[in-house]
Amino acid sequence: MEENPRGWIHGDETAKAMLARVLTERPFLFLPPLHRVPLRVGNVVEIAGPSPSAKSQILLHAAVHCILPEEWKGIRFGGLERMVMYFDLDCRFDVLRLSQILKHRIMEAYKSANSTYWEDNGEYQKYDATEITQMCFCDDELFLACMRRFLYIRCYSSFEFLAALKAMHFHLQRESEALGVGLHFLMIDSIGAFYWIDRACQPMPIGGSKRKNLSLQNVAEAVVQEICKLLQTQPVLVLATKATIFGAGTSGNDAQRAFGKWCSERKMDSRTLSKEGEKLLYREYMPSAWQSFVTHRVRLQALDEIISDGQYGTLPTYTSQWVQPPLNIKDKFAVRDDGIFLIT
Amino acid sequence: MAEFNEPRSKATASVSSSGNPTSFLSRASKCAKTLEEGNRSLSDDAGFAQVQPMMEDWHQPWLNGVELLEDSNRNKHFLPTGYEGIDVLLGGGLCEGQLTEIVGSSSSGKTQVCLYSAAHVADKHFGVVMFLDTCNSFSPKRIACMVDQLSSSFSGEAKERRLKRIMSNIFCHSIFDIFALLDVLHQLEFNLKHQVTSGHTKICLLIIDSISSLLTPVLGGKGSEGRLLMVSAGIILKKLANEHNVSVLVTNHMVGGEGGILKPALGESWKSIPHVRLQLTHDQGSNICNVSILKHTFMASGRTTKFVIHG
Amino acid sequence: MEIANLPISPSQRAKLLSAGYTTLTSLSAVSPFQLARDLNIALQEASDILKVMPEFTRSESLHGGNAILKGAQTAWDMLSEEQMQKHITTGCENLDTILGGGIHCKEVTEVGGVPGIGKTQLGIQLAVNVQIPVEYGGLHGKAVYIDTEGSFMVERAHQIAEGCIMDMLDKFRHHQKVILACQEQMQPNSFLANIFYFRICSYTEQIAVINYLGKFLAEQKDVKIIIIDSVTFHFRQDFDDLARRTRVLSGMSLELMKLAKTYNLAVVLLNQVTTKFTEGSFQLTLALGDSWSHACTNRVILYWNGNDRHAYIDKSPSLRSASAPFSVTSKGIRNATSQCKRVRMM
Repeated sequence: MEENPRGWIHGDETAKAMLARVLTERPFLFLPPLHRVPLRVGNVVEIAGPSPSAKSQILLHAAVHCILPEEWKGIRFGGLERMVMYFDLDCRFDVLRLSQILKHRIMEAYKSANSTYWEDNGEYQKYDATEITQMCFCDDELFLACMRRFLYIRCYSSFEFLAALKAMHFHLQRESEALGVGLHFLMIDSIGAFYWIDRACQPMPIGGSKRKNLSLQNVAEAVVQEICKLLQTQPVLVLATKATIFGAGTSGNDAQRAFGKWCSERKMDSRTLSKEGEKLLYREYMPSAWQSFVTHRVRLQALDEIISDGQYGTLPTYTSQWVQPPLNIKDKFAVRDDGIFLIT
Repeated sequence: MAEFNEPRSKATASVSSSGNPTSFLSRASKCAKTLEEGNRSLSDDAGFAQVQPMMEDWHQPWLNGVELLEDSNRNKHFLPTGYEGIDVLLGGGLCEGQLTEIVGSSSSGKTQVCLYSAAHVADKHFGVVMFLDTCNSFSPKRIACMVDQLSSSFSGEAKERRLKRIMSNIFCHSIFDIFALLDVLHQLEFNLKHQVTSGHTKICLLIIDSISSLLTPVLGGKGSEGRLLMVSAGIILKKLANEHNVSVLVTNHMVGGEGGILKPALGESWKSIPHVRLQLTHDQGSNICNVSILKHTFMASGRTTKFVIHG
Repeated sequence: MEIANLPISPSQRAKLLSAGYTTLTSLSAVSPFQLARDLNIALQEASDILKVMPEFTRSESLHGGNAILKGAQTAWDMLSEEQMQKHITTGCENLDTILGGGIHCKEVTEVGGVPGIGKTQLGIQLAVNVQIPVEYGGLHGKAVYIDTEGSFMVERAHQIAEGCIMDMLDKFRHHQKVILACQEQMQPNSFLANIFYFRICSYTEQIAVINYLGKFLAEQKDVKIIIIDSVTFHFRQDFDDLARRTRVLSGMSLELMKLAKTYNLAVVLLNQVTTKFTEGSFQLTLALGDSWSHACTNRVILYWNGNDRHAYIDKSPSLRSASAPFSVTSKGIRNATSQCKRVRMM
């Protein structure tokens, strides 16, 4: 109980001081390819797209950016050095891909650090690739420290997801104490994974019982409530991927499909969707509790074009478009071994 | 700006969670300084400490990147299919812990890839192969022929013994109903969880040829029953793969899409279930098959290669 | 939720979930009476729900170390079984050779061709050949012939049966004992008596017959071949909802696969060809193309090569792609009489 009421009325800090503190502690993030809108903790971003459209790659890319340190042994990595909590509802996470991106980023940082050092000193001495590799991986310490900051859990049903959300707080606290850093990202891949199951398994109340049953809407509400609780005590940036589950031609005319227009003159590009097709593809299916919780939305799509990158061969390209806040620009990007890079 | 609203909403949250009005005032002043310190008061609650061990049973264990990597290196091996083209394309072969789907139109070589992988994996002592057959295409004669090719350096009795060993490690079960498939998968999971399995009698490869013929009779229509069964089957398969280090290989067929172009069956919801999706095409009259990646966890999609099906 | 994997109606599932039964283990320990009380349903319904529970949860004992899966066979056992399996001869030696001895039991074979190539002839020939007594090297089984187009001619069947018997007697004329033993069976009328004929006029009748066959085959244990002529005739017209057609057809093909495997018989589906416009030209493909193409184990296409009839293996898990000539004579399907008697391997 506060003994000094006067001290309670005087504020703790001025608005200017608070702004300065918050901007350094919780910076704006620009993650390619979502770089057009600055993201910060407290935002809930939903990344929607058909499969495959590089949704999980965006999450991994952001995760690597988060777990890398700002600076280590004199080399600048430019990361956030915070923890990432990854909820794998799709159960398709591949740890080899995460370690591949992480290794490439570390090696790149080493390479650029070495080249600048030698140029500065006026003597430019070429290191060959194997020496650089040896240099970074006798430093497995950095790699392991980064991987240690990546927290992961798999969920095979909505029950497990909710139980994990409820128990997450305790686990996070233990990990923060062990590692000394806080949480910055909460990733969910993908939020609609149990949609069909929850929709078909809605209990029917027997004899007017007053218990709250586990319908689709209630599950979503519970999930949102748990995440909100977390956001209040530990602000994080929430990134959730959402797969589209209605194909572009689902409710289209069956007759059209069968006696279909044999377009011999015009080759039908399966990826270019008509306006209607797009509306069908990205049709919203999550319950309203989740829809109102989301603050930002991005749509991804795969393109038929491929680009050839000298070192990596041909790569498929994707586009991303912000839907909320609505921007009318589609950014093109491709996924390389070391992560995402934008195509201008 | 949202920051100014946060202390107030945070304070109300603390009241509702702890129910203690006197601590409300002390917390409200701390909130403005460090927003993360509010955590401590919640975990001091003795009730939560009692519940917490029980809750560990309701979800999968917490892991971190280092543990995942260790598990991947120790348990999740690559099972080579025997076709060099495919193995190189997949970076080693079929990965334990992953669900691989092969899509192709009729007689494009899907069953041949399944049979040859079964023979090859059983040969190299990885473990037992379980083949779930829905279209009566499991042909022991063909497998014996393939084993013959693999054992070209052996002769006589040694060859016979080798054939027996390999063929005894491949189990086949016919399934003609999606509910029967789900039963079988539950049974496999139950057996794997409760058995003390020695290295060579454990299933390492599960092949379902073809899962699309089981799902097509129930998919579509007004109800969502079909998709429920499809997603449930996907979840059990991935659970088997991840928890018990099994590699799962399923085949799918093609159907006509818009404009007459063929597309994989089972619709949009299925696309996000397998880890790896491969497409096979076969020129009529030749032994050469083309395989291309539709989706992979770390390879770029679109890469293609060829391989030869031996007669 | 594991309850979702049981074949029960959505309302029953909803009631189970509200009562708290979400996993299979929770249902394994409950009695029908208790379940009926919890769910507020009739006792009969509760026991029906418990009946569909998978068996492994009901048995108390854990499976022994050897049984990875109950009901699975090793490939080695299947190989020995397969080697003892007899095949149904088509009457034409070249065709038998490319088929690996004849039509296989436990498999579904689809035969497609243009009208007039001889599909129905082949169907009738197989219905007759399956009845060849064991002493003459056949299966001595009965046949089920499901006719959708009305192309089965009894007189022709009689003629083919006569031709078959004549050839058999001719081939085994030195084995007097064998001839005497089977004298009664080797009459054309007894051959006709062993062909069970179903005539169906709509797709609903077709589905009904195939669903009924399970019970029929349990009573008639000697049936060794089912011939459906032609399987897609009633599905090509009058079907508005194409998605439903796909579902019905794939359900039908699964049922046929199950019959073939369970009762150890051969299923032969005769199908028509149609033209399809792909890549700028018209090509002949089987009716109902892509959605039906995976419904069979083996596929044989009959086609004209000049003036000769040829058969070509289009799809098979164990046979090589090959083609062979054959001819349709008054006695039935026989070897091609022209000069090219060699089997051409692809």
